[in-house]
Amino acid sequence: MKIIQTYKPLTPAVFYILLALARKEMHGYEIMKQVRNDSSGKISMGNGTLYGSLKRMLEDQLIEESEEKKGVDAVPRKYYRITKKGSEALGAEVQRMNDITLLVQSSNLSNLLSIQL
Amino acid sequence: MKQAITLYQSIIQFYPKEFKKRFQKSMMQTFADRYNDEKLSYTIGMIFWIKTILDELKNIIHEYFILFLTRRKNTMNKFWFGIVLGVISSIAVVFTNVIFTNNAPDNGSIITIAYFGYFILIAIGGIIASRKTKSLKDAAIGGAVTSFITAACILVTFIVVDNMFLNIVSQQSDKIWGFANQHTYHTMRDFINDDNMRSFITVLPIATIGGAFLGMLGRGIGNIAAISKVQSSL
Repeated sequence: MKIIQTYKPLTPAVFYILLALARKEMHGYEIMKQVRNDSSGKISMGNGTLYGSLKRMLEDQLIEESEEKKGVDAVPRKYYRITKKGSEALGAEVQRMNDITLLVQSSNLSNLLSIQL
Repeated sequence: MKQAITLYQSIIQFYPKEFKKRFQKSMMQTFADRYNDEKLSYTIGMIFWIKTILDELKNIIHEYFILFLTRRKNTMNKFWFGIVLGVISSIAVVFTNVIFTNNAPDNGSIITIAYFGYFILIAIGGIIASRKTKSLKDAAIGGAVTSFITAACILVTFIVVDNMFLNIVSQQSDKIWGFANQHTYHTMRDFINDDNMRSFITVLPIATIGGAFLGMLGRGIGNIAAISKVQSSL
């Protein structure tokens, strides 16, 4: 509960980027593809949105830059990884979503909101 | 492919310098990766470019907006200490000249201590303004702004006090002596106002330049202290 109070709700872009990086460290295009997959294509971010979000997340210390690595094509790419603070912020967001889901279920609001839980 | 990269590179040139410096290389690589992928699935076309340009345009505007807010905040950081110091100094001027009046000549040692305290506060203004960047340039600007605002507040207060409470301030021995030893003005008000105007013209530039120097001195001492602290902890 304390963690939820510490972290503000995340924007969809930040949430999905953190979710992607929670699996493993990734470079820009990998993050972009993972976000598209995780959101079932609902969030398709361009380069501008991705790097704008990464910049703010680096400033907020939710993620950090890892060293450059060469992929199978031998091209060096900068990788990003989630920090402890980022993991906590993501956990808090998931907890918040879970709390809301439970509230909707216990209040029998699913039919009213036309959603399946 | 080369043309697409060149076109994308020309778009991201519009980002603020700092953003470009930090992310240009990664952005170019990510664009190349994405372009190659989309080319394979035949989705490169007008819509791809419109989406790319709109997305970059939206983020470019956003980055400039953030830059504007940060700069405004930094400017306010340079102003607030000077404003606080100016207001306190103005109150001190009112107290010493109107409320707790002392018509005896100014006490040399108290004046020296007051100037010394003022110099230290201006140096602190420089340190505060450069606490994030640690740069001497920011400290110089911070010190100059602090000193200018403080001096301007004091001088404006003197003009107001001297004109509103002329019957009180005209009893001060240095003013009586000054008025008696000049032949230009026939009234004390004209004499005092001329004196204040001269102070305005001469004191403000000197205070600003001196403030810049004190700000840099403060930051220099701060930086040396920080280095010594690190060295002693090793």
